[in-house]
Amino acid sequence: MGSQTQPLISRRRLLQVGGGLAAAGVLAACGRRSQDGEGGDDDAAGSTPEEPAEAPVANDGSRTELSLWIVDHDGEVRSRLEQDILPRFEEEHPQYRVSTRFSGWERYAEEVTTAFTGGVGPDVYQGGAVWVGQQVDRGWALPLTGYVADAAEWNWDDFTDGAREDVSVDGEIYAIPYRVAPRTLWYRSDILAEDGFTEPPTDWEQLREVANATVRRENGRIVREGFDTFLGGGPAWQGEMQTYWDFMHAAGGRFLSEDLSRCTLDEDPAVEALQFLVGLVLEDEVMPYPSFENQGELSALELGLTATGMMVELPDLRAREYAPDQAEFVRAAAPLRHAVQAAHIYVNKYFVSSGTKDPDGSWLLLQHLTSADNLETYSAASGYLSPRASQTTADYLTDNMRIVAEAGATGVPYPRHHNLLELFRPVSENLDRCFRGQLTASETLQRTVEEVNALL
Amino acid sequence: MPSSSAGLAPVGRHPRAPERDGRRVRWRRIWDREAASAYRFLLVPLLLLALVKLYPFVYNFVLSVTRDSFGGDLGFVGLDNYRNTLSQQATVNALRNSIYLTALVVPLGTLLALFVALAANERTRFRAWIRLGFVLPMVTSVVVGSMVWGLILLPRGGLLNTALQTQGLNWLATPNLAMPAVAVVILWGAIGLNMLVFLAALQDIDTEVIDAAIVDGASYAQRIRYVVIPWIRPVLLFVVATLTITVFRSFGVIFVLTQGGPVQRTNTLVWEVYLNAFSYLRFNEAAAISGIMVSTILLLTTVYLRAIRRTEAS
Repeated sequence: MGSQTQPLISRRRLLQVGGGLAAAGVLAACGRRSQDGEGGDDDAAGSTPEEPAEAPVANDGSRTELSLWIVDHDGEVRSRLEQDILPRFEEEHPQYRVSTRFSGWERYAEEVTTAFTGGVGPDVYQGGAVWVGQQVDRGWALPLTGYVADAAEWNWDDFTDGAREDVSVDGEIYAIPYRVAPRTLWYRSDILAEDGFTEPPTDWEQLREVANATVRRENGRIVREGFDTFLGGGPAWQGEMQTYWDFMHAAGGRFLSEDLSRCTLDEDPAVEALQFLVGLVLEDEVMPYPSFENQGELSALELGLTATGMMVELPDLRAREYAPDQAEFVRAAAPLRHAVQAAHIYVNKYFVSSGTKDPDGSWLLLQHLTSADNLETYSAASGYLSPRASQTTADYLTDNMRIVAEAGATGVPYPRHHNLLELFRPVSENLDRCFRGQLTASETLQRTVEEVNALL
Repeated sequence: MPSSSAGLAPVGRHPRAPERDGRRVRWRRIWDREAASAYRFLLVPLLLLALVKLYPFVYNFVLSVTRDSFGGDLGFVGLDNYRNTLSQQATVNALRNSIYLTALVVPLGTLLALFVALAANERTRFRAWIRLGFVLPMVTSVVVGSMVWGLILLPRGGLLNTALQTQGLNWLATPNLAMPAVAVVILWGAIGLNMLVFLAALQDIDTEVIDAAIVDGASYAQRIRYVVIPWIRPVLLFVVATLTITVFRSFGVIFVLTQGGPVQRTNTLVWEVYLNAFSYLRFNEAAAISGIMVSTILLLTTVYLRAIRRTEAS
């Protein structure tokens, strides 16, 4: 050691090595899988089933791998997919091997966003009720109209109107539905019978009558609700917006104008719907606000703590699984009628990635997953409702599920705006303020319209 | 440039070099055999650090001053994203809420951690149990801990309401109670580590000084006030700084318990970043908000560091 010590590497050499490593790191981190050129947007959009695109080299040298991301896999779905649905696809199409990745809703959006941003998205992937606008706007979803038109036997017309509307943007089909969840009225037959009601309410006036008759108070506190604005899980203030959509659709209103350029919640039907709900919650006081929270998986309905509420098919599933002694009292009814009979509907769907290197193979897989047989298998295994109209009376459905499935015929899906989640924020927050008595119904909607329009 | 205190270059063994050769000598000092060996060990961690910390930090800044992060066309927009986000009420609320949460957690957390450390430093039968009780939350997952707290805070049947006989009180959905409830959960998770830091500092105090104070007739409170606190002041400021950073970065508790509600009362900067990035896919705005967050933390940390230096100097 000391002054005579020679450096192990020269400064020049060090800078060269360091520079090389840094450049490699930056390139690796910044690199995106090409989404144009080979197998990219343009090629994919131009492909037809009769003109197969060049398939990528398979890992095992003979079969092309298709990646499939699944997020809706309650119940027996995973085993049905792994043991039945996907093996049959690989048998029928031996040139393909499906690599499936199962995820959960609590992290799925982040995973998909990160994957696409990094250029490593899956070939086929599931998406939620508000996904279409966003996926299309970002260019992540492959248009499927050409494929759908060529698949006569697969029968696109069998899908319900609401489901088909949900996946279409400007006349182009961007996804294929695999699950629908229409919202409808739920009630407790034992609580209604206690107060002399033998039939569930069918319109707003009857609902108000039932809710006022069935609410119970002790020492000035509500101990049983006549109506509950939120039968879901999670923070309570997020559920009121969903219930508001139900009433707004029944009043004939809508969230956004046809061309998605402005918010229409200040129009009469939208105002009328909120005034009705505010009347129930703040004037009649048929429920506390926020409403009774879930206990574990069970909402106030399955617990017998509310007489009525609006929800998708979940109360039936939850009661049968977690409170079987209550299941016979948990009943579904047709959507309430006001100006029209309509219900809000959630549609979950499969997308084909615009970045897939094998659009034809991806479509084949998607077609297989959404065939009538496989959708029935998938729905029966999960307890979900199939988007195919021919399956609204399938054998696996309970009586409640059939009523909910029929409600799907009146289902109104979300508008396909690309920033729907951001637009929901002022709606849910102002509704929250409204139900806390901080804003009137008119003020709420006026303020909401201004804030939403500022975002549009 | 490494110094002798860093143990990398044996400064002083080299002959004094002429001025013109100064740079060469400095390089030699850095790259002599012993130093090179140390740098080889450091190379992998430094590269990893650059990849997972420095690169995202720089890229975040790039995103915050550009237009679109998806199409590859990163058009420079200056400070527009910062202006846009700061003009939105939600961001202003988030900044205010983050500062409010910090004001709730940092003083209380520091004092509690200090008191617990003082208790755990006494030679009592319960010393081990005190340490264990406050260190356990450290090893509990934030998500699991928050979910358990969610059960404790349940309006009906929750442990807290049952204990307080306040059945029906919805802690997490009542606007004025939600943030204090979140603060309690963050405190629960944060006290353990800070208690350990204080404990280490307390055990570093020269016992002769304490003994001298006792001989002089100082009471327990006076010993704390005039001996212990001045002795551990640098550590105190370190705890305040790290706790501030912890609070600003707290995401899991809010994600599990409140998701920013009710009426934006628990909407903090880090939650706003998450919403913009992953719900709205507004990566540039999210980057700008995280830039605002980092700037606020840096500002506060600088103030703390200056205070620490002043303390050390005095």
